[in-house]
Amino acid sequence: MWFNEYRQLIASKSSRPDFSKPNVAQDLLNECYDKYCSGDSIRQAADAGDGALYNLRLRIRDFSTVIEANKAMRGGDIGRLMSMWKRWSILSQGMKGLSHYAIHLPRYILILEEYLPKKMAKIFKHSILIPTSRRENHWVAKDLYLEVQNFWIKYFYNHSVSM
Amino acid sequence: MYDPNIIMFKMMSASDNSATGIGQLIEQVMKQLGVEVFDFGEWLQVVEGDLGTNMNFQGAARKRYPAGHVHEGLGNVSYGLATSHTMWNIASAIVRTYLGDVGNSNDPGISRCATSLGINPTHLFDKSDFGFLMSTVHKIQMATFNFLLKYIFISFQLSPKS
Repeated sequence: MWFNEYRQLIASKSSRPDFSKPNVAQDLLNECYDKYCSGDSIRQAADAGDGALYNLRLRIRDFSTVIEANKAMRGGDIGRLMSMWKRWSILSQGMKGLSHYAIHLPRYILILEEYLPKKMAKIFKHSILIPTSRRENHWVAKDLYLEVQNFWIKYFYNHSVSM
Repeated sequence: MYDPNIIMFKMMSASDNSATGIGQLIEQVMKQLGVEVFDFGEWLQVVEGDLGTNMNFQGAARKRYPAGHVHEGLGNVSYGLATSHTMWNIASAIVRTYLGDVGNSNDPGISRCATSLGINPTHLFDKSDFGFLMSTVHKIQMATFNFLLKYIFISFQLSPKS
């Protein structure tokens, strides 16, 4: 098992990266990407029939979409968010508990990219995320902002002196 | 003050209340204005008239305006998904898919990884903490990459590639 091999290596070698050699860090990252993140590696794991390894690679891929979408939303980058939505609209077709999104997410993408006139679609797209403060990477979606406002309404109501 | 721009036309012929007649009249007006058919048609407003031509024209002109029917209105055909809720639900579904068996320590799902990071995996699906779910996904991914990079580095050291 690869995991046992790893444990033995940890035990036998005192392992600190030797960054004095040129491009060691870059090689390491490239190797990691090719081995665990690339589309080829996912296909290879599927062919090899190693279920755990295949699931690990799928997990890395799917978790990455969540992280990318989160970062895109914080950065106010609707284009990156839309490309993640496109992945999710395919993903949601086969996943449990996403039956509503399986229908409405692809429809939403089609409305924004095909149905609406281009300029109107631009207004729609660019009003999905709003900056509520002047800080960088602090954009919020409208519904999140609504929930936050809602929280404060409840907070003030519950902490106010009753008449 | 707004100065109204009024032009008087020479009206030598009057319409005899037929389609040909109104056509001749319109052609004369166009000649005097010096505009093309397309531009004229775009800006012409028929105030009154009961000829078939006029009705046809008004029918075509009305198509330029948004539909009055509720069924075809923009509000009825387009909608906006709640963006953060979309991400929350989909991220939650993804995490649930890869969760694995919480009770089984040999299960390769993320539950053991989460527990090692000090996160109780059963708390991930409490319907109240969006930020917790996001930071957990981030932490698990970072822990995985940390592990993989270390593993690859050790195999690099054992068999260095030139």
